[in-house]
Amino acid sequence: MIAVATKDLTRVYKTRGANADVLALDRVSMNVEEGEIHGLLGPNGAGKTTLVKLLSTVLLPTSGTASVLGFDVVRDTSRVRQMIGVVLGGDRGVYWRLTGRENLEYWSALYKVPAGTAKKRVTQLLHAVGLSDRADHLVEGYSRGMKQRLHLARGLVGDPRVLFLDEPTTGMDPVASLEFRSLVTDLRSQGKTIFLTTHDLAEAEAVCDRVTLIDRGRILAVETPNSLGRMVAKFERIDFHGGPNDLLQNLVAVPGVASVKPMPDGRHRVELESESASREVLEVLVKAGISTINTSRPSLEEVYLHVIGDGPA
Amino acid sequence: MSTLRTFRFGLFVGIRDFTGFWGWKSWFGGWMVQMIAQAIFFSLLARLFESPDQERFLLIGYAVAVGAANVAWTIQSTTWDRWIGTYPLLVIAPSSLAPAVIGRTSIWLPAGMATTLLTLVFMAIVFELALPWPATSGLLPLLLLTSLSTYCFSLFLGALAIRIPRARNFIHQVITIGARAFCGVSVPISFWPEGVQFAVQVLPITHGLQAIRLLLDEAPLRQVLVSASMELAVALGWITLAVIAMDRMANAGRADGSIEFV
Repeated sequence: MIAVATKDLTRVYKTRGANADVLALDRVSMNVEEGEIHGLLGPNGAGKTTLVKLLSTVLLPTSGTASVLGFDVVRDTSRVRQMIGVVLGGDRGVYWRLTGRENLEYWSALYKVPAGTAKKRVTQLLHAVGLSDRADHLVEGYSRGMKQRLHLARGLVGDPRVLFLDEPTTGMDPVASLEFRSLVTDLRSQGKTIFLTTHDLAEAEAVCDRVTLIDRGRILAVETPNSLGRMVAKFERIDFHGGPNDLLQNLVAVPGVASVKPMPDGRHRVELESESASREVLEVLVKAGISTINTSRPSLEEVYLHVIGDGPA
Repeated sequence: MSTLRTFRFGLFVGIRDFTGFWGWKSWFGGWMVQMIAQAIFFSLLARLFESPDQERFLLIGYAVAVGAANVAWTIQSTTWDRWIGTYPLLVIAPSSLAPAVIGRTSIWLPAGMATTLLTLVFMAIVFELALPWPATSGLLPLLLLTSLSTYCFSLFLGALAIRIPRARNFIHQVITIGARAFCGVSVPISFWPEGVQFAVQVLPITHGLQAIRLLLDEAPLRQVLVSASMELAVALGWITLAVIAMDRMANAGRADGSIEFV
């Protein structure tokens, strides 16, 4: 079954005082299967949050349609709201002067969960997100990672079939992010559909079944994590320092090397356009006696620039 | 049942808001002292002019007005969910927004009543205000009614302020000053032009304060009840508009995109 479907979904924001309106989403059409973890990957301002707002009934579309589990987000708003959960990034969206348990009990009332069921579910959720020990402490004393885990529990308190996670790991430290991703992956086994927005390539690769690349309000591509990984590996960068005079010419001659450019700190950067070039470039560098070599992955923006460029936008 | 639970938890959040904002010391030593000082100031002005009737008029009027100012904090607290990022989540929750917001803000109702009662008792002792018995026994329900109508009106304004949360303190100030000027607190309503007299009929305090004055002047019970009924009608009118406005503001936010995920 299709959990989330959009057809030519468009949203234009009227801007006060500005000459032109802002086109936040431009004829977006996509499907997400039930039980899938679907990533929406794009830089800031790409339209990710606008899409989540539309699907979660916080925002109305300018044109086009969107549905969640077959229910239209405009016509069947109340049905959609009964089946979704929304988790925001950052540390807002919970009541700081309540305890973690009180927060979840409050939200379970808002999600019309019967009191008896709510009590059990809240305890289970607090355990699942690792907050049992701090359940009866005020949220204002929680770390950012703990607040985010409470957010996730809050999003699950209505037992939603579709969960929207909007940049959920924003501001988290790496350990907390890793724990959070593990929690999200666990939800897949419960059959929940998860729609995750992120601008973190690694996060999208780590947890998603499929990833939609979006920029400037338009869908650019839909990829699996494997193809995304290949894309990232293909455009690997190799930085090095020093070397004989003919080294740069030798590197440029390697098939799959896109460019060799000097960097402001005196090092050179080899940019690849083929995954297979990496090994040969490293061999050339080692033969030339280079001992300080760094490899790095391109940023999301660089992947866009390399693979998609400005063409479709 | 879930509506009642939502209200109960909302009230719980409101109590935590209140106790996070005020401690007993700061409420009595800060807020109450400030409110009583205001009532004393205006009552002393009347005493300066050697007018016992005006002194009584101002004393009762300001005792009610300071409590109403406290109830009007409902305007600010209605917008607080926007600041802490819970507003979009409340909007998309299957429950209606109203019980959550009413629960959270209704703490200002008993707070305002307590402000008025304490001010009135203090002023009655210091200024030897006559509180005839058993008429005074009807004071509590009338104070509750006046606070309730002020609350309902404030909730309506708060629902509008959700769209422009930065204006919340300005709205509070305008309403507080306006009520003192036009609703029979500082001067009788008859002092104002007919248009103003007509307009204040639909505002809170006007009829409730009139009922309190009639009660303490030992007027016939029927007159008191007529004024009280009108205050109740005002309260019911504003709470209806407040609930509609909350819904409309949420829908308007969905349409123009002003409900932010923050």
